[in-house]
Amino acid sequence: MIKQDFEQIYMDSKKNVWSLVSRYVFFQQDREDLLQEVFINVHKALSKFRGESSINTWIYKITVNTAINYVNKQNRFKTLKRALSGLRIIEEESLQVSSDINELKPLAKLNPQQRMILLLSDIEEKKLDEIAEMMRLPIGTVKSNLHRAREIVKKEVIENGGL
Amino acid sequence: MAGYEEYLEKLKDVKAGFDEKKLYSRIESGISRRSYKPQLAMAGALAVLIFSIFYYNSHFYTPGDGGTLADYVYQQNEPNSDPVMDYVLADQ
Repeated sequence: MIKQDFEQIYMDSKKNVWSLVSRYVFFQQDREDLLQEVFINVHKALSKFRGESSINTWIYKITVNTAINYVNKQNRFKTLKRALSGLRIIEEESLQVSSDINELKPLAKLNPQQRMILLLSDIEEKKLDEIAEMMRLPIGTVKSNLHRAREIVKKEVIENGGL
Repeated sequence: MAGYEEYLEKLKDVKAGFDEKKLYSRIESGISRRSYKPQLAMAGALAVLIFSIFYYNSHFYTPGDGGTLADYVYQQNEPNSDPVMDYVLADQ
């Protein structure tokens, strides 16, 4: 039963999840790893889904939290990896750079939380109270982060001549 | 603001593709790997526990008058013998 439910959920929500993760992380390998991580977490939590919110909101919640954790974890390891490759203990990975890297560059200037809030609000067109609920943040924090994120991106866009 | 709105349009147009079937099979294998993890951990812990009990019994177990379990068993079978002396004598 759960397997059938899960397959259906994957079929119904893969495009929405991909739309968010493909703008949230910039390398194809990271995007695929993150999508996998999201659906593994969905599968793990499926038996606990009580239907209090819509399945879409629930999946967004899992996607948002998995994505922020993923990037934070990546950032922690990045420092260690750089140190190890500096000492030539490991070789630096060469990741496949996506063709849309130019469009995504301004987003790289934002911290993981700001980037997620901006994407949810201005690309996924979610309401502020929905974002606050998904990210378990006070609405005031969402507003201030969104304002700050837009300012940073605008500045980047202007500096790069509209990209 | 116009620059920002244009940028958002460009961002909405970002269309990275992915192989849906390949990713689904990756997800499935990830799920099955994770569901085996607790069972493997339990089996590992049990194996360590069993090994520790045998190791302790055969090396440190002192049934009353000292010696290992092997000594104890030896003495039970050969009540009038001394395992150390028997070993020394057998070696000659």
